[in-house]
Amino acid sequence: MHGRARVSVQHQHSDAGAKEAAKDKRRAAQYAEQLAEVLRSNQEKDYGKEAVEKSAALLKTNPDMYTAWNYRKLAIKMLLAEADDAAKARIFEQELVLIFEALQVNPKAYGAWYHRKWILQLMGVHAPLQREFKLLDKLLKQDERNFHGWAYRRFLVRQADAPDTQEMAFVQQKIDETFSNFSAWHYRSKLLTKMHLSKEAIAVGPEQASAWLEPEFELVDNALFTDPNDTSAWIYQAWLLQNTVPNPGSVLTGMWPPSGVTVPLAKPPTPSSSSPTLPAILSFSKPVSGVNRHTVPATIRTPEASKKTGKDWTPVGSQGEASKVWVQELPAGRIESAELHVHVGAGPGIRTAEGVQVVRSASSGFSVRMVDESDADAVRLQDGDVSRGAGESDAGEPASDVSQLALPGYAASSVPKGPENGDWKGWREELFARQLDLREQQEELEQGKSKWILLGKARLLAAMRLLPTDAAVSSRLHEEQQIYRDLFALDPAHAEYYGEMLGQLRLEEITADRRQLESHMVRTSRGGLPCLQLRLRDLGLRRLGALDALLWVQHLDLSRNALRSVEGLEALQLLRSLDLSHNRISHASGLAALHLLPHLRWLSLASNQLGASPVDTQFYSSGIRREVVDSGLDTGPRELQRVFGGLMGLSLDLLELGGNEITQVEGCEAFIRRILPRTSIKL
Amino acid sequence: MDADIDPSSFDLVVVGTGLPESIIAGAAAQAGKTVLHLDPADNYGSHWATLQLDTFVEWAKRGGATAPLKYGSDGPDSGTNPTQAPTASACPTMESELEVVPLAASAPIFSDFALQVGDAATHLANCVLPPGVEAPKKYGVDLAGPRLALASGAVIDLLIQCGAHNYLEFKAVEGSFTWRNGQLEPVPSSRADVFKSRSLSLVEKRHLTKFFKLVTESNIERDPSDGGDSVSEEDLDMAFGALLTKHNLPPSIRQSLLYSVALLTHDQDSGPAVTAREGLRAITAYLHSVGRFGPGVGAFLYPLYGSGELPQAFCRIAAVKGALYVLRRGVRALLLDKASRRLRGVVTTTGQSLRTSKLVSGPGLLESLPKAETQAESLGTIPLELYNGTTTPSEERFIARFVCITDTPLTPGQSNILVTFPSGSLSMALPAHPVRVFQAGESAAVAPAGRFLVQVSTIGSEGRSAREDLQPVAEALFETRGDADEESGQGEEASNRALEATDEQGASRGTREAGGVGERIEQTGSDTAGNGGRPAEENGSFSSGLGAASPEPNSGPTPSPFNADVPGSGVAAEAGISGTDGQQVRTVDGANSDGAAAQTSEFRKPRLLWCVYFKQRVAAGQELAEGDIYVCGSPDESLTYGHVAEEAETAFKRLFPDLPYYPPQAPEPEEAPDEDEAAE
Repeated sequence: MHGRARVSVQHQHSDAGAKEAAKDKRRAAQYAEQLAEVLRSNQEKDYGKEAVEKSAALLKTNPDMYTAWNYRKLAIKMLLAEADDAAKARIFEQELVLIFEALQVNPKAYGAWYHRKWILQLMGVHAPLQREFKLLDKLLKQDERNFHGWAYRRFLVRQADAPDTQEMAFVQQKIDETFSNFSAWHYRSKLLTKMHLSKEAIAVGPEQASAWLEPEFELVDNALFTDPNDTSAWIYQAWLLQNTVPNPGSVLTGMWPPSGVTVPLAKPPTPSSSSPTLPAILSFSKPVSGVNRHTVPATIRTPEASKKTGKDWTPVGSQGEASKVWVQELPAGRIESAELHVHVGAGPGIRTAEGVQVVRSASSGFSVRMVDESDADAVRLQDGDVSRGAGESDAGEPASDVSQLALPGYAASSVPKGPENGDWKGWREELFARQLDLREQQEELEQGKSKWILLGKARLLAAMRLLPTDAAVSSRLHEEQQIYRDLFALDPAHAEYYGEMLGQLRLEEITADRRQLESHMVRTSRGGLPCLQLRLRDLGLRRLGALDALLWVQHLDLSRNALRSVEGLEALQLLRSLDLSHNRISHASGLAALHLLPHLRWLSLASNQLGASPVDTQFYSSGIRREVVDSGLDTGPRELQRVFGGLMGLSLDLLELGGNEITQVEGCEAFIRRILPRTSIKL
Repeated sequence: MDADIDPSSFDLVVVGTGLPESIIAGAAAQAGKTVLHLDPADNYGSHWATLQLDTFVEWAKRGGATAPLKYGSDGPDSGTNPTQAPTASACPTMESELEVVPLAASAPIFSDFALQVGDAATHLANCVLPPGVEAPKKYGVDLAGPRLALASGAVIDLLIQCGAHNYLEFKAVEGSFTWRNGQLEPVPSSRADVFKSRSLSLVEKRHLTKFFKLVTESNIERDPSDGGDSVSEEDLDMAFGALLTKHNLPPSIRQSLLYSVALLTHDQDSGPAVTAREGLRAITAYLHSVGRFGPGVGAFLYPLYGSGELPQAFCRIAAVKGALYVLRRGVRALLLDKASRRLRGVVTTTGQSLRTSKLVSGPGLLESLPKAETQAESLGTIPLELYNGTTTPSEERFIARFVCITDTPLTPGQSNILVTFPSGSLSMALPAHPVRVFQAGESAAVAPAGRFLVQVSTIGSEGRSAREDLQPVAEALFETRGDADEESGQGEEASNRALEATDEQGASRGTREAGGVGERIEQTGSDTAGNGGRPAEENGSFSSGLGAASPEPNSGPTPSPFNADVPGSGVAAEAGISGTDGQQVRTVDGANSDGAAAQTSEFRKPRLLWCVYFKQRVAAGQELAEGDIYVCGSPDESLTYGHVAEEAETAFKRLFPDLPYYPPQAPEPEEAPDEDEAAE
């Protein structure tokens, strides 16, 4: 039960003398005997009356013994086969009584609850649903947070097809009794989702949304003011915020090349048989399927003709058909101009795994210009000459002239927020403005001592930013960041979480503002060739957020952050060099995304935490181990396999590993050279 | 029966079966002393009794005095010489050493009775129950009412400690309200109440929960250097009302906290105010009581069959431990040792002498002691100032009371509720002091179906009759005028609606018989509903066993007048005494969640069928004769029993300093005998 301090069993019996101990021993022996009998009956398929009764006795002692429940299921099935209606009713009733008694012993026994559902389903139309509701009421009165009970209620509601109004009344009553009830708020959210957020309901529009959302905000505000430290209410409020801001399912968030751009593509250094290609990249907020040449036709205009490409879109690194990033290699050699259209409309279209459609169309018209590879701003995708040696990794001059670049190949590639369906009449802006006012009132009342109010305010600001009409995005980003900084001081226990949020916000701020972005760009060189590098150092990033504005980046410096993994980086399909020095990478499994970057040639993992942690949870599950074994590399030290196994297959020119503990391990260099035979290793 | 009592010697004689007397009797018996417990009346409870309506009317006609004892031997009313020598059954050898101190009849503490039937005042002597009031035996009027037990209060704890709770059943008081601006506003006493309140703004809600948290965490007795939020030392000495203002509590909440939560009896804004320290203690006691017996259960308990059950429970404890009980018998004289002036015995109203060295009596003993002309005649061991008379008139305190019968409940769907009128809540100066109103219905077994017994009290004002003090309250709450015929139709309807709204299953209506303690105290059984094979506790009362967990005060969902989905609910309109038609209506905050017919937000005021006003003088407890004699106090103006439990304990410790006071009992063997042990 909730709210009761745990008392260890030993403590309870601390006063017990030898008599108690002997009694316990006898009870244990008795139970063991009972259990053995039931298991034997089960094995021998003995469903006689005596045996079945023994199982009942066992279950009253230990309702968690699910084998006994299943044994009873088999017995019941047998009995039902030869029983008349009256006998059936008796059997069911008897079983329900037994389950009830078992639940008194342990109200959270999975086996008992499942058995009850099973019985009810067997009873079909004769199931005493109203009585079950009453029993459930009693149980939830004893412990209003028993999640089994709440799940069972959902089951009953489905069986009885109970009206939503009845359920809303019930959950309101529970919340009125005590609003510190996660289960009740959760149930409420499920109900409201069914009533207002089903697929049909979404199409209904803004009026209906306001009708149910505004009273919910009012209700939860009552809870938030009555007790600002009650987390269940804050979590519910966060859910409400999520459902107030526009969320039309999966969206196309990034597209490269962006519209109106002329991409300066470097000519390949050596003439090769295959003509140069240019990847067109689409990135979505959720994994989608259905991206193909019908839903996203790409049209190429050459001097001769204009035609659709014959190729198709491929998902980047997906296990199935759905992926967040899709790529099509366009033949770049003779493109004068090209167009991409994301179509929505007839046919199944592009949809998420849950079947939600991408509802907004977008298009991009761009052109391609072939330039010499020494051009500083060229998009260089062909392999350079490795023999030219490693490039500098730290030096670089700020690219102050980026803004003057007439080559908008570096323009932000994120797809701007589109208009929404329906007239929302600004009620959300008003609601949020009122909410902000209330949060500030709360801050005053609590004199800044409540972290929940600050967090709530930060989430509110994030929601406000998502409204299409919101003009104060950057000031909100600032305010949000300040809140997280304040939270560091107020709640040091969760520093990692606040750090992560801060990192995300910082990244968002930089990528949303062209000027800030430009201030982070540096001219440097790689492989003897000049290049433009985006420097995102020291942002406190724990993980990478949405990188849709950065699809054009070829040289990225993410050093001096707190990254353990580069998940999400697969969107940056043009990436050539990546500096991950001074991060927290401990295994190559954190770098799985790098396998999806076909043009990556330089990687620095200097001064990370390689070798610091002996555990890599993904080593086996992600298949790395199998690859290592298949290639005969499992003869090396276990530790090295775990740390570096995942790098196998990367076509890097240069890999920097200095400053990691693992390099002290004997045989490290040799092992790596076996894994990456064609790569230059710098320790 | 006038038979002599045998044995004739006791460690303690108790006269009067009021609550403090009964607690002391029980304690003494449990500590192994021989106890004789007498009462001149033919019912238990003395000033704390619960009387059936006809008995109450007779009692009122007598002006609240005990019924004269009808027997052959000498009694206080018999007119014979009270100093007549005791009968022969007294111990003859002692006669020469003992001085007989005769006791006069004690004056009743009640006065100023006025009866009202409908709108008409009737002389009490002609009292006849009006047509709407039948079945007088189904009513239970508390002479000490309105009186409720705090769930975490001393008397409940004492009941549990001594095991007397097994003889009682309690109902939860379903709601507590404060009168404000013509409406009944629920008293917020838990976080859930604050959450649900419609009359507090968001910020006010926060101030209130902050205050509650301060109260519960601010253990005033703890070391202040513990840190954490607590009230500072200086603040503890300020006036409680001022402390509340200091913590940003709006006036409405302040009134509620002072009078409905801290249960203060005197107006805090005029005259002496309690300190913050005392006020916080009172609020803490209340908050600890809320929910003690289950979630959603309020702070107050009321015994089934009325508060007169409480003294009987303690009497039963005493009887089980060997105390002797004799009703219709009192004490008419004290026997003192001539030399030492110490108490040696008493003479009963039947003339029998009994030996004892300790005496406890109800209020009134002091007045019945003979008055000395000079100090020389005074009995040396009895303090002169007390001996010569009671306290001076200016120190006398009075309680103004009225008891009435109505036909519908004050709030829809609730049967037993408490309403508090803060001072000044009716008009500028009215009431002068807070007024308490307790309504109980059939579920408490103190009224028949469709009827409600309402008991009201306040501190009586100097020179004013009880009616003057309390009639404004009656008029605010009830429909006092109106033609009986015209409204009888509606009355019927209304009472039928009330029936639907308040009918609770469960409490079996045992007929109440006068007589032995054992027969009166009956446990009501639980309903067995056979749901899922388990007897479901569907009845509305608590199962016996206050220590047990989760009793259910009501079947079905806890009546919450705050359900959002009832149409028409919401912040009620202004106080409604509609001037146009004769019907008086009063809007109620919130609406009924049970499916009763009275579901609109306008609610008809209950009709007053019958009522009686009277006054009670408050007599304080007194110790006499160096701890040999204790005179218990009368019920006082507070709502709860705290002072009674304290008084009884103090008195017992003075009477018997070396004896334990209700030591914890050995636990009953509740568990079934161990199967293993049985097998052995």
